Amino acid sequence: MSESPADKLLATPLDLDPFARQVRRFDEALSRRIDADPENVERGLAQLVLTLIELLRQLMERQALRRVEAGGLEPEEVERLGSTLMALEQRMDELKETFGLTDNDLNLDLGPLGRLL
Amino acid sequence: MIWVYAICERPEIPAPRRRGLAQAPLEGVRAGDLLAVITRHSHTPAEPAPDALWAHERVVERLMADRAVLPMRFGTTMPDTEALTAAIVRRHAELLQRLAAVRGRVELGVRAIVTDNGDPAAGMPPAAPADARRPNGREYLMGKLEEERRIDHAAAALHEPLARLAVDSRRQPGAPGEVLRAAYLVERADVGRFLSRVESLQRAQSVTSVLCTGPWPPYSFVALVGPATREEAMVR
Repeated sequence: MSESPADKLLATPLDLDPFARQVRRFDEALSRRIDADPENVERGLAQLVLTLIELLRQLMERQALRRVEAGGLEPEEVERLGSTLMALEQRMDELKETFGLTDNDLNLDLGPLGRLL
Repeated sequence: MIWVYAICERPEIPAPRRRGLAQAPLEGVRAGDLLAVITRHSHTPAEPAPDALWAHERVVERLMADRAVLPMRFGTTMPDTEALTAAIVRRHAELLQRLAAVRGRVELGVRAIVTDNGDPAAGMPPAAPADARRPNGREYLMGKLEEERRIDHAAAALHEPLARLAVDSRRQPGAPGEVLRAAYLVERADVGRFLSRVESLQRAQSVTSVLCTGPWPPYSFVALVGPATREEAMVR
């Protein structure tokens, strides 16, 4: 029986830091939720709204990719879809920068269901 | 409320004389040929913090020392023992089947991530050279498709050789930058062989770091099939 969590590391890369960074991000996400700062309400709201928009954008993009793969689209339709999605991605990048958010901020851990994005 | 740690075989072996979350003594609840191991609480005994997760894990691991176990996820609760017993009785045959599928086997977790902030598919054959001008709509979509294929290829190169050494496997959606997140159900006797394969795959990777953890109770391999009532959904 394991005595401590460290016993669970069976095969590790030379550098564990990248994995540790992901754990720290999880801790930060938890404390951000718990210590909601009233002065930061606007950023929190922006984060929530942008998370939902990013979810929809990624779903649209995945659907577009599947349609392109299936090969049923006219070249003009592919071009139009691609241009729209590219413009959406650029606009999202601008909004993230405006509110000081990263890709990781726009993700939610849904427990057994995995990550939102 | 009761907190459920695991459902196990061999109900004739009583629950270990240990304490679970919030120092509550472990109890066994027998239902047919199965035993659920629980603690009783007046309110939720723990939040998902490392110490509490570890306390839950240690109970499940202790049970695994004696018998095959279907571990419950941290946070699995039921209103009372009657509801738990009824849920187990309804699924009795299926639970026994799941137990047979995990007996003598453990779960190993594998995660692979890129070590720098670069392309998750780095180290794979390079994509077409980046064009300085802004891509058009078609090029944008084709670029995304190509990126998807390269990540899939990198994930398959790790997953397939490992899955061949496992009885069963589950791939889970990864976080950004993650090439692979998967759980493998492995015979105890094959754990060493599995680890050697992980290490040889790691040596062959220059930009992807591979982490293998375990042995875990088979958390990823206990999901039941078929329609569930609300109570059963809680057990799941």
